Amino acid sequence: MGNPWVYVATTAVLAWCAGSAQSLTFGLYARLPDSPTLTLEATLPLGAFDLEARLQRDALGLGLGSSLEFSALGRLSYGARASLGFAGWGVEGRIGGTFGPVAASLETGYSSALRSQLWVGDEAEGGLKVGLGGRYRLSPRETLGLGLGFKRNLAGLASGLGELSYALRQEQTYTFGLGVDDSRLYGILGWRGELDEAGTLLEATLRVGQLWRLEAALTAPLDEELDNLKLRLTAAYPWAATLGLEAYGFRADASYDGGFSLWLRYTLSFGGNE
Amino acid sequence: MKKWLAIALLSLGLVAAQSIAEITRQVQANLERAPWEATLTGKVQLPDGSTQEAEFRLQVIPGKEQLARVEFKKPAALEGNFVVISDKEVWNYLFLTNQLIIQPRAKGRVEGLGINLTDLGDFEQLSERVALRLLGEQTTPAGAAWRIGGVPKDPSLGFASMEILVLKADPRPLAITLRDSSNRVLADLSFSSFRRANLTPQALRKRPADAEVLRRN
Repeated sequence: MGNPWVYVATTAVLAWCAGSAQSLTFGLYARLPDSPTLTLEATLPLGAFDLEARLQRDALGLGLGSSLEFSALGRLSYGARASLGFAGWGVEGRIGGTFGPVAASLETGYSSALRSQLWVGDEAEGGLKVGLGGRYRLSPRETLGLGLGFKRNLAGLASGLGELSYALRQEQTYTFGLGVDDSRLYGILGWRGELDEAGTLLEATLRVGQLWRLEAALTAPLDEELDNLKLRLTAAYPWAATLGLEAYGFRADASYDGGFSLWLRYTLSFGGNE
Repeated sequence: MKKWLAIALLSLGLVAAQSIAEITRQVQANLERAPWEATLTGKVQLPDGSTQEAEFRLQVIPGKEQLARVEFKKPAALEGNFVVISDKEVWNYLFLTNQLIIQPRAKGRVEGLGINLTDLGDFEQLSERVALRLLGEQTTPAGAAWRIGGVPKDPSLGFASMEILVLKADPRPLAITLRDSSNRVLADLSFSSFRRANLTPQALRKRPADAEVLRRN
């Protein structure tokens, strides 16, 4: 479980911060056959910025983010994070915005170790990564989507990803698209719509071709306080799967990608930014 | 003679002042009677200076816990976006990113297209922010209407003058025009399909369940 004093010190700091914190998330993460680790996440306001801190057994990450709001016209958000652990270090930055018919985002980062060694929730890849996303409204009912990604891992191997999609919104939203992930071609089929009067919403996306992946998310409103029950499922070939459950601040994520892992979390919200 | 003229002018001024206060009171009382909805259509000037066709659906539940929802139908780029305003919070929903941004009422920007649309549902608040005066009367297809002019008390409101038509028979706004200091029209909107409706807070707060909720202070 690592050095317990790290947790004691951090918990003391977090407890001190709790007076002004927006949220504290306590977690327990286990991946077989490794020993489990506690995870702690905190967000607190710092003037016009939000400070995010996250800690696990052997790594600490600090992030700073902010945004400009333009009411119904759009918004611009940006942030940066640095992580340091026994395994190495990592930095990442992001900027994203939407204004009128256009939304765009850019994320970039470099990590000298596998990102999952710096934060259990991140992918087991290191090196450079750049991601660009965009959405453009052709008409009130039609939206074009574009996703581009580039990665160069720690061994120096480069890979790219590109996706182009078209979404048509009627009562439900239908998405069609094409993608290429490291020379594997696939098609994209998506469906999103409400299932009942209460607003239970299902979104499912299937990528099919030289790569298979099904992503489905079911969200059901629980009350007027914006509490939802969320169920998430991902299944892919080569074999990988995740299952997530979330309600009233509790969150459980189980996954298999050659090894099993389980992450249990509970979030205390104190209001303010999230 | 001069003295009498001064008294007459002063009396006229007082009568006019009373009239606008009385009209404001009547509109407020009428709009507070029951939940209502209306469609606003016309033209607005966007921040880039271009003029666009605009259509909003305004829904208001009056009372102690007043709640208002503005849904954007036009410009096409904003269709699907909405704003919900309560006493404490402002919700801004952005369709393109499926995000719901929640801000405290005091800080939340509601102005959006240069006009706080919900002020039209809360005349008392409008008269607190804008110095109103009665300009005269006008005949409209809906019937006789008062023509009311206004100048913002706070220059940061984003316009230099406003003109509102208020229906006399059923005291409620019929049309609003906003102008900048060069007398250019910033917004020219007319109310249509005004009706009393059985609105519930749940209906006004309706949003996609999977929207990403972001709280900003």
